[in-house]
Amino acid sequence: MVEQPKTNSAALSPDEVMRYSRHIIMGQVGPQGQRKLRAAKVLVIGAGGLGGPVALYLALAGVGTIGICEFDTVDLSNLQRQVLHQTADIGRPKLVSATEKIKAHNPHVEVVGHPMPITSDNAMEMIAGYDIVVNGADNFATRYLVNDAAYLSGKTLVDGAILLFDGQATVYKPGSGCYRCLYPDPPPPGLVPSCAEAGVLGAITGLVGSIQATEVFKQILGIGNPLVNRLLLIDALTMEFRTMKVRRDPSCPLCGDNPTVTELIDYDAFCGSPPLTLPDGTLAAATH
Amino acid sequence: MKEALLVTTKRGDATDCARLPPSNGCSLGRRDDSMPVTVNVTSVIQQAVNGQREFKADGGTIRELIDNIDRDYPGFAGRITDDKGEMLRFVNVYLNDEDVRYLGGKDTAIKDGDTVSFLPALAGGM
Ligand SMILES: [Zn+2]
Repeated sequence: MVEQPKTNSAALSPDEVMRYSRHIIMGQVGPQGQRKLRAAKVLVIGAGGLGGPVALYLALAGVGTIGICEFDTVDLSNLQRQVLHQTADIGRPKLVSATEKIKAHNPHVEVVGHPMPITSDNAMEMIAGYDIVVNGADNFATRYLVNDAAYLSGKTLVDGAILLFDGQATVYKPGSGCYRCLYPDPPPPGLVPSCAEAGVLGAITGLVGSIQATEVFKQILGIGNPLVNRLLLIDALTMEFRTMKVRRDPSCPLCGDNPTVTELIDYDAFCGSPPLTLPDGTLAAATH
Repeated sequence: MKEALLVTTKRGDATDCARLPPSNGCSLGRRDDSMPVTVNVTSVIQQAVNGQREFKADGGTIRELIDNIDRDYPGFAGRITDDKGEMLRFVNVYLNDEDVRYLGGKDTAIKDGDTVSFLPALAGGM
């Protein structure tokens, strides 16, 4: 359950004023912005490579309620990049490990644990309690699910993805395009490898996670130019950052003019079947 | 000298010239490094082009560009298009910063100095 947030108007305590002074001193934040951060509720999907640094920086900034959806346990091979988990945590639930570290960093924030995979059955209810969703998922099925659930809930989704030396980040605001506009269909299983199969540079998780946390911060405060309608591409080998345009596709099945996806679907089936027309003429990907 | 080179790099001759050894006198030594279009690829598609992140290629349209790259790197087109030659919906092709789906798709015209990027979806997060 998401706890009742401290009201926006409650004054900051002397401890909070000192703790957040480097933010509060900035004109774009100020005491009022800091209270907005405290009142904000952000759901982070995953407490691993991306979710870890996102949750950490949101907590340090004083985002009052941080939801974490994570059901995995800490593995030795996570420790090359997942900053919230340590050697002594191996075998422990990532959610427990992450919550401890976050609370140790900043006892003022509430961590709300969702110790289960996000699914079509629980996603809408889970997301409903939050203002913003941050994606740190590691597979296509979850990415399409989180995209659809965020859009159908009218929530902003701060998206990021990593593989090898590559990183991507963008922000989807309902009505300004979505993940399905960018990639209408998932690749057939096995075609795009996972980080476990292909590898990932540890530090790029921090790079992309920090960018996601920054975009959340900007969304809450309503400052700057958000990464909406832009896909940021990071190549760690050349250290070149490029942005591509992201447009709302009028034919998008979710956010287009004539949507066909109006509730959550079976995403394992959507991503498990090649997006091809079956011999009987039905679309394998669209029938679930 | 630079002017003369530009005159001979008109598209059309260029593709053929680039495939001939420099010794045949074609185009004042036009080679791959003077091809007009910069191609960017990421992780997965990189494997299809000998591990390169960025290289030069030629083509007046996206379709020609893909065909030309596929001639140099057989199998490349199969990473971008399906059996029927339609662009795969999980690989985005950008002309500079614009998704070619919002331009002319595979018939989108390319000009000298353009950058074409082939970006497959990424899902990693853990
Ligand atoms: Zn869409």
